[in-house]
Amino acid sequence: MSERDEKIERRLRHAGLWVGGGLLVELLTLPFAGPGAFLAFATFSGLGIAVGVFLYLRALVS
Amino acid sequence: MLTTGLLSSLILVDVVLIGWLVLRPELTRGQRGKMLAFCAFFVLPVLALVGGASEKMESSKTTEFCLSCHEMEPYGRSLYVDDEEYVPARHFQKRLIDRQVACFTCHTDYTMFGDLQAKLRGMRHVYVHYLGTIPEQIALYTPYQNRECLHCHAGARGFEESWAHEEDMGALVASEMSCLESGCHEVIHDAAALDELDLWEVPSHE
Repeated sequence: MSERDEKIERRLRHAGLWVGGGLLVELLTLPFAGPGAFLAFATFSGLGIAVGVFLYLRALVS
Repeated sequence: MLTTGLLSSLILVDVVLIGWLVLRPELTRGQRGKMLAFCAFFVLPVLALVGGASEKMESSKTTEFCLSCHEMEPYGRSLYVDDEEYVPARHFQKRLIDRQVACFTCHTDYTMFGDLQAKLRGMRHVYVHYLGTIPEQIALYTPYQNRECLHCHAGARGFEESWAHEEDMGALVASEMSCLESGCHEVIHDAAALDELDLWEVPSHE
């Protein structure tokens, strides 16, 4: 495995952890309708997914 | 709009896919693996985020959402005041508005970006509820506009044929005369006086 592949795969792993974390938070907040769930979704889930997608796209162009 | 169940399934599938690709990233070296990674890391998360945001926005319209903050509790109780003079109570009890979205129906702006503005105000309320200082006296940001009343009442026979409305229709439509502050419909929530008022006891089958 080349160093380049290793670097891409490391970035994919990081992206996966962020996206996966964001998705799990979304899954936990979905059944609840209160402001706390709304806030958790908007901050933690939104942030996690956005960072993860960004890391994935960065891994693609690296 | 994606339903909560469908959205949950989509998220679960994506989490499994991501877990698989995180444990075995070498799969992404081939053409199929790359396509799978594109779906797992981009397409499905974006779909889940957009679907989730839509679900959350819809749920933030509900009366349950608004009244889940304790500072709103008296306003929720005021919907049950047993007195027709109370404008919100009358609308709520007579089902003139959808009870599921009672607060939003009257407190959104019926303009092009009114819903968006209402959501942004709601976000501010959530922020103040958790991190800010809740004001002692809760008040509207701006005086209540006739536009919000006329959104439903304009064109309704009962409204149009009422002699009081007929007489001042021009002034009402032009907002030169306020529905709420002209002395006609001035009793709104009056949350401070709730303890002295009779409340409607909702029948058990409701």
